Amino acid sequence: MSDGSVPDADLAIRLRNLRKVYRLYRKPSYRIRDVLGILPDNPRYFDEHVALHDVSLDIRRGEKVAIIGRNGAGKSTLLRLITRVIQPTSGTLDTRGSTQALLSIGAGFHPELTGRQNVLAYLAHFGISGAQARRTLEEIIEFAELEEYIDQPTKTYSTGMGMRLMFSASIMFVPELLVIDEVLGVGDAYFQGKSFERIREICSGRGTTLLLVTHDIYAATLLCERSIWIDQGAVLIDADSPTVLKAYEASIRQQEEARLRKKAFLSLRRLADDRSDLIPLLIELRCPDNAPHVGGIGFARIALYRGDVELGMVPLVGDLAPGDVGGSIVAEGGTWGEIIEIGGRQAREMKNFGSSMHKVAVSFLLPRELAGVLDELSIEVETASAVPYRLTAWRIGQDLDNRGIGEIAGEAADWVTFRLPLAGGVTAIQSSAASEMVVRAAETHGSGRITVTGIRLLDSADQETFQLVHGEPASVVFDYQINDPELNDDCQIVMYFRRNGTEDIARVYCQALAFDGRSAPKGQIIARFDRLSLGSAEYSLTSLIAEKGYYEEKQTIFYSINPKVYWAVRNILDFKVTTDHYIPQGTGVVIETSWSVRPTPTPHVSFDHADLPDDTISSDVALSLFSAKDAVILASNGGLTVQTRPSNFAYALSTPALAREDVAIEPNVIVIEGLLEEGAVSVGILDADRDEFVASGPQQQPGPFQYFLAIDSLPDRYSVILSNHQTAKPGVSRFTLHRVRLARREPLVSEIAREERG
Amino acid sequence: MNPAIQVLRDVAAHRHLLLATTRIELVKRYAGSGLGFSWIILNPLLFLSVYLFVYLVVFKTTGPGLTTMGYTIFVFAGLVPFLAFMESANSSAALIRANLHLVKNLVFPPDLIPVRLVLTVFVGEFVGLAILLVLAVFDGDLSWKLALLPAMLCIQFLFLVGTAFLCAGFGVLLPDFGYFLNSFLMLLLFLSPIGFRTGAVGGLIRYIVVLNPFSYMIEAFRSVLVGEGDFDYKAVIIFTLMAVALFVLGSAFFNRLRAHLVDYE
Repeated sequence: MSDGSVPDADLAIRLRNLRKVYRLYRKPSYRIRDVLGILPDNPRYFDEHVALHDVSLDIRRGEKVAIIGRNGAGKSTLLRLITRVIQPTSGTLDTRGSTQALLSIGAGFHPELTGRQNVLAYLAHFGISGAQARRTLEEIIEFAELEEYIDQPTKTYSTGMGMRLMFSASIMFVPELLVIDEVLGVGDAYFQGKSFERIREICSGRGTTLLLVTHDIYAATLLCERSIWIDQGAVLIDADSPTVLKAYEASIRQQEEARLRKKAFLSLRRLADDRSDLIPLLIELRCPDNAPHVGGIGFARIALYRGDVELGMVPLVGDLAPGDVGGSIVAEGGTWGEIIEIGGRQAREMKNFGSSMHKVAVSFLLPRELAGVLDELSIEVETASAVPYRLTAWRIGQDLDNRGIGEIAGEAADWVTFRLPLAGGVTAIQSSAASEMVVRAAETHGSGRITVTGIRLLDSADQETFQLVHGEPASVVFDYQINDPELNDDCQIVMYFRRNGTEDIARVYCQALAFDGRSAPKGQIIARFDRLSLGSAEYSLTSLIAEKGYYEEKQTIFYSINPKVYWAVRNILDFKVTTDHYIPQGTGVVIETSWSVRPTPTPHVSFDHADLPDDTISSDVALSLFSAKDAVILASNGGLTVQTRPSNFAYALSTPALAREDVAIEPNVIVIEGLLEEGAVSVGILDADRDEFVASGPQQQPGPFQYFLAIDSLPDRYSVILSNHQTAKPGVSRFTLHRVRLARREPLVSEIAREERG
Repeated sequence: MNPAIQVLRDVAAHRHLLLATTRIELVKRYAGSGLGFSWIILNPLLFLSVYLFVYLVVFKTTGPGLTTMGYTIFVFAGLVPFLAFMESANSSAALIRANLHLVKNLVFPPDLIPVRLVLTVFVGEFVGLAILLVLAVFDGDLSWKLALLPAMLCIQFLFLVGTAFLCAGFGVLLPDFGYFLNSFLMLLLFLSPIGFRTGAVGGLIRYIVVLNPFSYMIEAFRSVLVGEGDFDYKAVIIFTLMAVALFVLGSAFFNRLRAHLVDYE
């Protein structure tokens, strides 16, 4: 073999530069002349449609390969070429072994014959007759579960029954190459599952190579370890199934985005009354990786300039003056919100929820004479936000190409004006939705009404872990944040446990958990398994939070663009389950789960100095406690950042007063963990009733810190305080509190002896 | 390899499959009818009766020097092979469209689909020939020439397969081909020397009959099946040459079209 990667003997299929060109004839008679070989090879007689561009593939014997892609991508053409139903225009194709193809189903049954006669007729086509045919017939009838109807003419069958019988007859053979095109979805859900198992069984035989074309990409990845994504007649990605699946999922959103963008352009055209002297221009401000930003961002002004001359502006907070050739906001496919006020100025808010595409867009209609000088234009954006933000700016021209023109980012609440030249400097990204995806596959999906900021696995001792033990209790803890304050409803949470990232082993879902965006915008969702029933293997956790009823109803919209999905992440967490006794692989599991939501108490932030400006500290403060089973109490917020100013050197951050009753044990040690980025910090435990410190730790140098504070007894009400109070050193301090743990350290022997003496 | 030889090899290699599926085709053809398989016998009988009625009762023609029975055998000897041709040509036009599932699902080599059709047609022809032989025995009109019947059937097999390939191919290429063919075959039925001898007509009709290639098939069969008269070497040789030519041409044409069958779905 020329490239020498796979020895010839191991190959089931080898394609080299396989090309299929369909000719679309200008007159029907040209088609006949072409078949007869008397049509000149001249493009004035036909258009050529390249269904498959020079595809080269090696498929090993026994390999299970899924072929995915959109309608018209060339999947079926590829299968038909491999099965030699059609001939390639050029290139070579080698296959070996017997082939069983399921390229279409439902045809070939004679309506007047009974089911039994039809099946026997079908079998005869494979040279199966006599006793062998009768045996196979029995198997087929049993598989199709049509015993009662088998002696009725098939014209009396329902469509589904006929399909079932046909499909059952087709999958009774074990060929060397099985080619299936879109026929897995036959029958009801029960029969589909059964068919699926049967195909899995056929393929488990050594040496059976499977080529599967399906729109059910999950079914495909379950059966196939390798996936080939075909787009516009060419192989886009050929890799292991999880990789391809991830890319494919992300692309669906990209495609939807491209569609909406096109629609925006069309409506722009309509707006211009088909005036050919106007050209459209779209400007998009996108969240990096499509992850929702932290909080609302206000836009007071977006205007287009040529040099210092303003060409037009977007009416963000009011209507345009009539006759003004200006811009407009693109409402669909983005998260434009209401008019808000920041620092006394009116602004249009960019929300962090409300669309599966986390971006905002504005459009302009420009005089055509500007078409050649777009690079000389620039866009001015005036924006403010209470929280740090970073958005990338993109210019989309008439041909729908995306060109990065820079980014806007800020941290303070002050109004900032950005001027971005449309010439950009960032390399253009290809316009094909699929290719764009390959460049940057986003991980998070969903409209962002709820987002999850952290996921942890806890073992039986409520310790964070990545390794769980079969049969023991375990929990999954989600830190959630509700972005839409109007959200006050039941939501559903689904967890998919996939072995090795692909094989669906178990799904756990919570039918209804109540959330309230106003009273409990943050907190934890805890899924507790009293007895973990997953077998030993490596798993990935995929999870989503969606509107009530999402999981029970058939969804027609793919999840990554489904507005009912608030948050979804694939393979967010990898973990391992071990066991000390044998559990057969593939064992079905039922996981009994108790769900609970633990809202974070509304955070209080107190300062030593009342005159400290509000904007010096992030309000994004959360700290919560929850009881552990026995030994340890854990408090964690997953990160809390405090930033100080040089003029103030004595202030602190404190948790809400915590009640002693929350604690199941009598702790004698408090462990405080965090990160000091800049400046200095000290920590202390404050008795909230007596207003005095019961324990405190020394100041720190920048870096991660971990205090072990010994306490004699825990006060009834107490706060954990972080401050730079003791440093007596003016300057910027930035620190993050990660976790507070209350623990009981076993007393030393000498201490026990001392107590006895006392 | 020459497509014609390839077809013959395919037929040899899949002979069991062909026979088994031919049987199924027959079952399918009469499935749902009240009389079922009886139609295999009834069909040629009815057709013959109609034909005889037209010639014997309406036009009151009989062959010169033939009894009514002799004339019946005379007509039958030409009608049976012609009916077989008519049926295979007629059915071929829609053949590929009706069997596309076989082509797509790799169940059956596409070139065997027309062959199978000819085989099912042959079953009807055998029934017709059997009736004819019964009549001939009854009339005492048998000769040594009957021994050549199997050879004649082999030649006709090539002839029919060749035309089936052509008709099936044109049926795919030209959707209207079937309708046209139907009428054309009806015309041929009257322009072929079935109810009369080639020599018995004159003028323009004579030329048409002489130019009609199917005249030679009819005369070749008749010279084998009807005891009286000489063996028509000329007709048999022309018929054989035509059959081989049609078979080679049809195989090549169908082979060329094979790559386009599914494209025309």
